[in-house]
Amino acid sequence: MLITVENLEHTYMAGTPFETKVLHGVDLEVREGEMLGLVGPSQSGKSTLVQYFNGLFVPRGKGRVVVDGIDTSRKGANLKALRQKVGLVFQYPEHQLFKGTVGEDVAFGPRCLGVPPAEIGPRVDGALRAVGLDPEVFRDRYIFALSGGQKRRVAIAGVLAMNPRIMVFDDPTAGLDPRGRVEILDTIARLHREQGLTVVFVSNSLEDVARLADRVAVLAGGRVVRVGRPAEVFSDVDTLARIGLGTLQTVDVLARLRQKGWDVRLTALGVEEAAREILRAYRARLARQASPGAGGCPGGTL
Amino acid sequence: MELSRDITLGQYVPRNSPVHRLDPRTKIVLWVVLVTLLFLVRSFTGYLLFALFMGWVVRLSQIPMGYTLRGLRPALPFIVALFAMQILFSGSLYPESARVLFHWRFVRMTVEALYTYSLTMVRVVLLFWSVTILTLTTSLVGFTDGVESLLGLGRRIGIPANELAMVMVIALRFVPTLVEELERIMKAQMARGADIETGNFIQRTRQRIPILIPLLLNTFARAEDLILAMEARCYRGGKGRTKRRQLRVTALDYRAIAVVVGFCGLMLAYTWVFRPRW
Repeated sequence: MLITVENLEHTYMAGTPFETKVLHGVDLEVREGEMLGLVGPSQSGKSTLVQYFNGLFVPRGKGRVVVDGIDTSRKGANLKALRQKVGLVFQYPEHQLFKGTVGEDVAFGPRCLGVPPAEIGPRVDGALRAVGLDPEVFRDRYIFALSGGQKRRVAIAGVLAMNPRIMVFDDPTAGLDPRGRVEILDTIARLHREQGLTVVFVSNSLEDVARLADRVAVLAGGRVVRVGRPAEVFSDVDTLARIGLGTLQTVDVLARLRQKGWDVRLTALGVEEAAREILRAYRARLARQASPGAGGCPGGTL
Repeated sequence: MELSRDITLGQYVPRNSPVHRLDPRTKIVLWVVLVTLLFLVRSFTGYLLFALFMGWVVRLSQIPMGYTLRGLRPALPFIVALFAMQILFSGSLYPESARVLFHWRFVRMTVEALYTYSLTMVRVVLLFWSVTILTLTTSLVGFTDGVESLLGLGRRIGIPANELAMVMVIALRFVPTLVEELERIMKAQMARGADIETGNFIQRTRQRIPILIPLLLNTFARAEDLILAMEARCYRGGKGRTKRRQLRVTALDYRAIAVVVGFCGLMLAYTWVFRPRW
């Protein structure tokens, strides 16, 4: 197990009149090589939880977080080594860029880690290539001359250049236009596929999670209420409705049809899959109708 | 890591206490009076009495005592460093007759300096505490209205009351926002391997660059957004604006004024008539 979270609690503004408890005992495991999607209604503690993965928060008192053998709750845990292993990309990561050119900014991480100067250049180029930016073109560009989506990819490259084993993305597509979204998601999928990185990503788009993730964890009320393959999790319509998250648009349509008496399965996540499932159910009903013994007409129209 | 826990400036803790219910103008004026008193009282016992009075105000306000003092925590290293430098290096300003506690080359510590700067330090702490209590018990809207109304008295001599109040309120309003932003940027850079807590003075100063530059850039971007938002709502200053919330002075305000004036009288009598040595 690459990351193990046990009974983790977190309270913001502890000891002040603004005290709020956001995590009430989270249990979660991240497996080597998987892509885990983390979803949940707003304020459910997603962003807080991911900051435990690289030791920006460490458990105080209750709970335990072990990342690749490093127990962060223990005093004197090597947090710097941890942060090299776990690359965390925050929301709106382009806000953290501070150097003049793309190359310099991406080199910041490796330089902090004390990577020998001769190795920094190749690492920067590798990281830029990994996020789909040609180093020859972008290395010496000024950051302020880039588009929003490009800046975000530079910021991701800045984290990648540290050669982490796990990449954690906190809502990587927030505030991007549709094209930017697709680019970032493709980049993440490629990193996972080609470099074999373990990826955890927080997202507000269930559709994105359904498309990319191997497993989904649903956080609500400061607890993990459901973990499993996307098809399992997103077809659990009742749980998702109860926590106010809702489900995929496709599953929602299927669930409504089911309520109206159509025999459809809720495990079809993609639009085409869902369409096929509906067609299958329709054909099945037609066939039943045509066969002797059955009567009446299909309940509802398609 | 959580910075905002220690920042109390610009925060407001809603409660229904007599201190909260006071007219903001009364509160601001009384605060100015108390700060003036703070500068007139120049003795440790005087400050102790002052602290007791402020403690009583905090109890009335129903805000946890610890929280009102928490804001001091991040400021403490500066206060202590300043204090240390003053008592160590200002000795040469004192005459020959001063009692010297410790002398080594340019370091000359005198009893007089120790006394003066200890007083100053206590005063700074009390000053900070009293501002914190003022902002913790006054909502931002109340504060603006109060300041604007008070500055309005000077409108005839050309003081742009509304604009000044607006500037002040924006500044206060953005303290928590900027703290949040600062925390986010610090964390983002720490996630990239930045070490912001160790190293010597020069290293530590250089380590601030990756934090300060994004903070500054984002602050400018935020200011621009704010300008746009204000223009989009046709903001053009306070001329001809009416208010939904009218400020009203009640019996409670007169009582508060009486208490503070009485306290000031006693304190001044104590300072000037009794002339305490400590």
